[in-house]
Amino acid sequence: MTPRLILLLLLVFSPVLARADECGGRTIMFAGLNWESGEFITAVLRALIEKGYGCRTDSIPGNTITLEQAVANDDVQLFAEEWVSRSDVWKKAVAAGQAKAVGHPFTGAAEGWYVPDYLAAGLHSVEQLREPRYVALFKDPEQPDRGRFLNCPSGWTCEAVNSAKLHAYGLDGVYVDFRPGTGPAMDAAITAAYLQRRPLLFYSWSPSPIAGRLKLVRLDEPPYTPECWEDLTSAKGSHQKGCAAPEADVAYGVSAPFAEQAPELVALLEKATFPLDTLNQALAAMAERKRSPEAQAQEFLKEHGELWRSWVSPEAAQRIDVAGTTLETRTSAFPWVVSIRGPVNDGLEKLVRDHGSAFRSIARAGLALIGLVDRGLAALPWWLLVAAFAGLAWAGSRRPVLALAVALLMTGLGVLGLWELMLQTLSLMLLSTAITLLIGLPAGILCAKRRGVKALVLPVLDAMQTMPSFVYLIPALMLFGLGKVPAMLATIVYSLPPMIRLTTLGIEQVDPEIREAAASFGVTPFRMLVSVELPLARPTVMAGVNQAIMLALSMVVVASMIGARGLGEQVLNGIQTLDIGQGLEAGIGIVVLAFVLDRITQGFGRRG
Amino acid sequence: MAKIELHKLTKLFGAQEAEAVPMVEQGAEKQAILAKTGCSLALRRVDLTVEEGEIMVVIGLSGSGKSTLVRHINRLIDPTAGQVLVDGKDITGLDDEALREFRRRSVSMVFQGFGLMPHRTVLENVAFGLLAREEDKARSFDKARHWIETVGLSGYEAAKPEGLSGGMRQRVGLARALAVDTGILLMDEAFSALDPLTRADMQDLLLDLQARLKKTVLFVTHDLDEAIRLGNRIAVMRDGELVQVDTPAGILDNPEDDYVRRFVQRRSGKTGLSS
Repeated sequence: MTPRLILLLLLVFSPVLARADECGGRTIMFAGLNWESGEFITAVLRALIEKGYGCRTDSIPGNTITLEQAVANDDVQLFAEEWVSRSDVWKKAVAAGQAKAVGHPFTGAAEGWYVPDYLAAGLHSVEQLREPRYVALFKDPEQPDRGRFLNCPSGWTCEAVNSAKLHAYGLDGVYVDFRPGTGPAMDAAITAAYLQRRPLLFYSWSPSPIAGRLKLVRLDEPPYTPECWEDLTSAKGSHQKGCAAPEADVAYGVSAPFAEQAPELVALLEKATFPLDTLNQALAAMAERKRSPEAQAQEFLKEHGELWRSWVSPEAAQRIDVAGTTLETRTSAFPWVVSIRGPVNDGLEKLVRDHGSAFRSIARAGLALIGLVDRGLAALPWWLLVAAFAGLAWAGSRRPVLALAVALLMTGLGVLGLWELMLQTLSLMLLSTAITLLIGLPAGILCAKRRGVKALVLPVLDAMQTMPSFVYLIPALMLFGLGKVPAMLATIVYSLPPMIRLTTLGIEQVDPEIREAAASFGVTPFRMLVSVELPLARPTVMAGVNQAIMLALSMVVVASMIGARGLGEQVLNGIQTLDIGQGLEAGIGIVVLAFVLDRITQGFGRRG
Repeated sequence: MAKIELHKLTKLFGAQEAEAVPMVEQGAEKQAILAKTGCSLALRRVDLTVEEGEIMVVIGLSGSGKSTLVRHINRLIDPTAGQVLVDGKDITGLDDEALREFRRRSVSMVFQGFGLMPHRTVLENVAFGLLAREEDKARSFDKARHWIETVGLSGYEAAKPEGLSGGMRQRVGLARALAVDTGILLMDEAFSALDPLTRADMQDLLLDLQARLKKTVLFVTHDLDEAIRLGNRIAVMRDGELVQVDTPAGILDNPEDDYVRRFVQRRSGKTGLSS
């Protein structure tokens, strides 16, 4: 073999050799971060590493804490936006030598409490928030005597810090500490308020699409001191004094084995710092044009060649070919492709901006009703409610054992400390079920009587049952505001179909001869319905009520993702903070409530 | 005088009833009509007169149209063509309100499967027709109690139908029909679901009551024994047409054709009219 041939072979196989060196043949697992800047940075890095260094990459979804733990275990190698000082899990992993912070995806990040620019005339500091006029300005629709502070979703590191700050600034009795449940819910709430120019006090941060898109003003806080911050971030702190967050140290988090095995990639990470403005613009463009993070990453690679070329090695830079990649021209085998994305997005934005007030007055009426039931239930002594449920169980089934079991289970809920949460869930449940009945019964009857109506309604019911709930929850949230009203809407949408279907079925199944017999005596259609069809359909209709309640309960956790309080919020909290015990406790609460309501409604269905 | 008169009563089931009528009038075959229009012929130009106070038994095989025929008299089924005269008045044109009034006052019906409300007591079931025409509740229950006693069910007023035997249930059905005190009583295979002994008891009960009440009864059955025992006259149906209308003796002695003869022969070995 001539030396020239060897050289040629080396050249041909050099990408393969590089892969062997840098990736050790294995796939680099990225943390699937679920906030926009994290998604975008992850997408850019994956593109650079795949194309420039020939490594395979993948990402695994999860919440922050879980993914940080995964880095410590080397299940995930790269965490693209690690807020180093904010997480105990991360600090522990670094201290144990399992993980390492490398470089900075960006610097100069800011976080804190924000208001929209149109409110900033007189308001500039958290000090002022205690003044009654500001409390009234930020009025919580669910508890109108207090203001509302829109915190982070539970499970995010910022959530606990913000709650500590509310206490430290003496605001915790004056403002409701409102958690939106999920990141998208939080963004939707802020965006909707901004579109309608409504007052809103919320936590936010930069870089973020919100920061890139909306004009926001950060409220002044007392300056950062290490002691104050240490106290605020500790669960056991006294939380007496509040202060601003330290300038955030945001790094690339990598697992220790990865840092050792892939020095060239670590070198890339050390250099890869996005200027904050560039990042905010990219995020805003991504949100506005509804692009995927991957599409936005391609766009970034095209526009900012000199930036990323300064990060990667010259060999890698040669391999990365951005010209060949085209953006958002999905190839389709189908010749005509029509997208409704644009019109729907524009239409929703217009609806929120121009007709928001009408929807909000509906929401206010709904909230008033919910508040009434809430207060009614809360005013009852616990033993009276337990007795009432046991009594209902007995009245439905005539089985003393069941009544006793119901009483014991309900008492058990109280003993587990879930009573107040259970009441909140119960009131939401009772109201949505009542509305489901009010709509479902007449609709079911109409479907049974009119073939045309049934043909029209059935596909709608199919859609209601299968449409992923977040598809309509986020718009509902933007229109009705975060909290119980959209939660109730989602619950009703989900539990209405079985009510309608089973009512229709029950009436259709009435023995035709009994119907004929009644008709032969000259009954009016109304009397036929009330004294023949409905009584005979009762077991099936009650099965519908039962199913409606069960499905409503299964929506409790989803409802909490858009800010409904109760057992669901507790479950969500437990999952998002890896507090399995808390999640299980609240989960048991939901099961008990389901059991009790199920047996009571079943009892009434069987009897008679 | 004639209590009920059917004139050229024709019934077709199907989407294009009206288009099939000319074919019926031209005497087209049942199968031809079905093939051409998709309609099945249930009654073909039936003429029948029922006199006041008589028991007219309609007999025929399953599918011969006898249940369809009887349902025209209280318009549980609307005719495709032809007339139904009750007391000389055509009831086919009655609007909803007038039809309800007609059903409440003039005609009542007993069903093969009883048609009782399972969620109501015997008393409430018997009073159903009275309450349906908005009579006073207390008086309705008094009347209902009287008829419960008449059919021999005293003591069962508070029972639910599911606790009763078939014969007892049909006594409830009969009491319910009698309670509204209509001139016409329609009985669609009313005793067909009962065992032979119970059926004989119910036949006795009906004849006993008829001796006093003198109703105009249209009684549908597929059993010639029952027809001979109950009927003042018998109408034999086949494929939606009347084959022969005669007294029981007339049917037995002079069967019109083979179809009727086969009915008669099935009872060979039994004595004629004496039972």
